[in-house]
Amino acid sequence: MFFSIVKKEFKVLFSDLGGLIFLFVLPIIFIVVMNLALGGLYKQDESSVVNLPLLDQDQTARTEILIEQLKQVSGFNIETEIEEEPVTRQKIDDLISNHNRQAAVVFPQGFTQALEQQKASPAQLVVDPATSDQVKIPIQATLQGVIGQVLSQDRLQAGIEDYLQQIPPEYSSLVDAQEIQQSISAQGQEELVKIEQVYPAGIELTESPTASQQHVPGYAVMFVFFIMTALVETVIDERVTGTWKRVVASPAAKTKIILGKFVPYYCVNILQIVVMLSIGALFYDMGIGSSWLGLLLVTLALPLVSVSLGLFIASVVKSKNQGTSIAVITTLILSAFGGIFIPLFVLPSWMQKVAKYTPTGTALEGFQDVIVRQLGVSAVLDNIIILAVFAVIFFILSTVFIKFEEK
Amino acid sequence: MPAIQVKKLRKVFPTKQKDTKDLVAVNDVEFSVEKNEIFGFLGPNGAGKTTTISMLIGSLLPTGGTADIFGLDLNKQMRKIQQVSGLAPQDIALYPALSGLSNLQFFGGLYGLTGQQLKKRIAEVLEIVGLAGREKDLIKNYSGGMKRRLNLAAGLLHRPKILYLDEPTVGVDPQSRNKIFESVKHLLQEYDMTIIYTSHYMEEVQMLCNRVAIIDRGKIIALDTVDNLIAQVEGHLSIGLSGKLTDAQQQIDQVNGVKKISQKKNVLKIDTTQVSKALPEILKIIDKMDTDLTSIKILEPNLESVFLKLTGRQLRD
Repeated sequence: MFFSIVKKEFKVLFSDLGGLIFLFVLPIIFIVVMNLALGGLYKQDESSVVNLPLLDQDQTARTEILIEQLKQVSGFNIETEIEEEPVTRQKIDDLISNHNRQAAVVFPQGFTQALEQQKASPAQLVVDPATSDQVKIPIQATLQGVIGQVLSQDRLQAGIEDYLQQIPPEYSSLVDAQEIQQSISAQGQEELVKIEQVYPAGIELTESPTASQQHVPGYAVMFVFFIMTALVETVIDERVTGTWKRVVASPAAKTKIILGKFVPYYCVNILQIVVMLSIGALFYDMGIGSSWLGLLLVTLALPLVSVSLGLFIASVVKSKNQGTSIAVITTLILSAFGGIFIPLFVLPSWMQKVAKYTPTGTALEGFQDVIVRQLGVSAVLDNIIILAVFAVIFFILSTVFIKFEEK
Repeated sequence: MPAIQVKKLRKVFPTKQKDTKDLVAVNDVEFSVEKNEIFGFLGPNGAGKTTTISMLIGSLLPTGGTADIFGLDLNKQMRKIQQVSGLAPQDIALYPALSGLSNLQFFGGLYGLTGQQLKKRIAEVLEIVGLAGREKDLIKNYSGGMKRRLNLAAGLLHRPKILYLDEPTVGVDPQSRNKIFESVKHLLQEYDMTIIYTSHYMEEVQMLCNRVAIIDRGKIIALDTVDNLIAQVEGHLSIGLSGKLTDAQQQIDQVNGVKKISQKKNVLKIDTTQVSKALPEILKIIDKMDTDLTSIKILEPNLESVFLKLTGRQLRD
């Protein structure tokens, strides 16, 4: 009896060979993609180095020493010139705004003097507000440590020299200046220097971004794409039960049939986004920015892609197993490429370029522009156009591949 | 002018295997259906009945041939053909998670029915199939017979000129089967519909249809009225007698309509094209003879016999 059940289940599984193959092939694709994406995290080579543009507006001997010291820190590539052009504040703003760099350092004018006088004029760390703390904190700590160390060594050296001058010459041989310096320099460096986080020009935040502002939009984008699974299942079920044949045998136009399938899932997707953002806003103190229109436009544009992509998948697969496997893996891969659960800077540079043109990456950037960077409609227009283009392409492909009359 | 005129309709399904020939599911089929006729399409499973209907209703593209349906060209005016065609498919093509009413509202909507008109039509078709009062139940809670009846109702909502009933009684209980038969007769009388009725149950086709096309392996092998088709084959009489059979056999052989007579022990087996006319004559002969009638078994000719004669196989093989 037991073997009969086992045998039958194997037969059922193998009756959909395509679906079975996808169950193996798709995870392999996923492993390959994730290895490509995450490979940089676990190997130490040029690709794992963080490029850190540095603008020295102070131009003193001390900032020069600081820059040299920073250049010695492994894991960072301090860029005072980019493409043979000196780094400027404008260049830094562009690089950060376009997500070409995660962060940049600015030593503002008067930085050295202020330090010497122990006045407030901290070094600046220019970051994108949407950059997660996982990225910012190590850079900030490194910067703080290096600056602090240089300054403390500088200051101690001067202090010890003053002190030694006051010691009578007959006792000076008993004092080891280097030993004193080493024992003291490890203490209290961080208090000596402050790092101020600033944002690129055009971004003015009244409050620092919250964790929910950084995570909720990403999860919203990812879960919107999970609707593809439900859509694929429905379409395949219709084919299997014969209702599709009945619908096709009616005089309803093909475009109406497809749009009729599209609209309900589109509405559910919008509701899904509204619910997720509302939970973030109501329970996790997530500000939603000041541009309601921008938020609305991104919310309306994203499901156009998820539903039309779902329709496309449904139109080309042959079984429910195939369809749901492809839908899930597509969602996960798009999420990985879009920087939803892997920060974009971790990806190899070619993948970062591709990521900018994934529907997930585009939508996430749109949400972050409005919610985190508190930008307006003009900032998200590009994203909306890209999403609309994706939607049109997938929708056209669906109409081409979906089987109305069997051939 | 016939309501439907099918000319050399052909459907070939290419096979992917190299050494296997393409499957010719429908092989240059030709037939015509008169207006307000119930036209039977009789054949075993896999004969090509559903494939033919699928091409006529536009869910399958023909490989070749054409059809004229109420003056509309199958290859050029499919949308208009679909507006005048109704289908009760072989599968239960309903949404199980929805109620009967929701299903009917959806399928009515596909034909442009809305508002009061849709409401009225739904009430009408529910009455026809005997499901009035059960429309709010979910389809998944319907019995097999009820699903079949609602499957039929969904094809009637737009009052089609031509209705395709594809194996409408498969797997239903006798009560639902009778209700479906009643519905079909009602539609013919009240709504002036033309019906194409496919089945592999010869009793249904024989009872309901005016004319019948017998299809086997994609080809129509016979097409005529039920009576004419049956007239082509003999019925059988098996008569058991006690006593001397030789004289009786000689006299019965002379009876009008008797084609062949054979004897096995005390039983005479008589093949006749007109069992009902021949039997009284044969009984008179037996009555006059010095012999007693011990048993009588009548096997009337039917469409099953026709199919057996034409193909050498049983219809349900």
